[in-house]
Amino acid sequence: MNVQFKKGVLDLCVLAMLKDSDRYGYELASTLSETIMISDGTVYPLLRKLAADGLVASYLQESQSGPPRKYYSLTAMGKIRLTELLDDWNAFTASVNKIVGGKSA
Amino acid sequence: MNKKEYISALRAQLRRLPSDDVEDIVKEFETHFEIGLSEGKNESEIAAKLGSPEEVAQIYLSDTVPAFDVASAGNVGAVPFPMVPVKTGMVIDRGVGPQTAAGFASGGFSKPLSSEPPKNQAPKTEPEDYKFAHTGAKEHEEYTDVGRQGGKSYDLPDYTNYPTQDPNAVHPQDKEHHILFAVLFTIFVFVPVWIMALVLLLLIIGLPFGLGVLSGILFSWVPSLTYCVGGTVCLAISLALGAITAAFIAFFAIKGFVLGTIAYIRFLAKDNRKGVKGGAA
Repeated sequence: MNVQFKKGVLDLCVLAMLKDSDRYGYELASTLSETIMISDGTVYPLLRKLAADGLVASYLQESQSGPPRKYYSLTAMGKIRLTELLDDWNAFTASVNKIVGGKSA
Repeated sequence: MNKKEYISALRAQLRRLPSDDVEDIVKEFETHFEIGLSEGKNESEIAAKLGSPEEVAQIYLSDTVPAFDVASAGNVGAVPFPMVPVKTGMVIDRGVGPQTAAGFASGGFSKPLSSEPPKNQAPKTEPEDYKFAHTGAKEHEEYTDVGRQGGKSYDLPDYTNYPTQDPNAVHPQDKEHHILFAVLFTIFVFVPVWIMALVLLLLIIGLPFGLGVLSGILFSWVPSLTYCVGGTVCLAISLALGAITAAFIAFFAIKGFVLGTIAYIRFLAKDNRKGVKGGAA
């Protein structure tokens, strides 16, 4: 997939994955690297940036196997941002599809 | 690359960040390795999937905007691009409409919600032109694709690969340059200045004395008593005024000379101790 495409949707993907449940870094990294072919290491800086911007919060939780995991959750601000990004995404893909002749959303 | 190598390489690359942040980041990657291991993967497999430590560290560094002060401005030329204070997506967020492909690709469609700066970042005080001139286009280009091109999508400048784990370590080449600079600066600037200052000082102090002696010799040739008295008075006045002037000038000259020398010695000491970080040049 085109590099430029991936860059843009990474924020959206991370926020969207956190919408329904809290997830830990490894989970986010491995899911994203499987689906949109990014390297695992890029997710952690992004999470840190999102946390610094106040869009996600983190907490530590013990797990049955392995070390305690750092879970990430959406903040109120993160939810608003996710809605914005989703609206933008839908509008954007709809207009692009119109031009390239695909199915419009 | 195994876990230990990966973590120490990452730590070395991140050494410019505050140590709390580095520990935080390193902890996250350690956890990543441990979870991966518990899922039955091996260390080099996990490391390969993470992307190279250099590239990962570079994302962290480009997300962090260091305070822009005079000292770091002087160092810009010596610092590799990961330290160029650019926030990812910054340049494309500016002006271009939010619905363009560029805006879409830059990692965000709209401005962040909060108007106040994020707490983990230093205030962005660099001039506007500076941001535009250093967009970090290349590292931005590679933002999400690290490690997917055989782990060698591009090479960082050689001097970022410091051979040691010490976060305050100075690359030997940097240090050599600084010592060379200090030596040349001492020989060609400070030694001549010191010599000139001493000569000037001697001149200022010596001049009234010389004049006094000269006038004494001249007046002693005049036989008349009136001239003798007048000459002595003139000599005394000129000597007194000269001495006062000389004392004033000498006081400030010596003071400035001493202060300047102390400042220079401190500058050199700091320079050699901290290398590229301490030098103002």
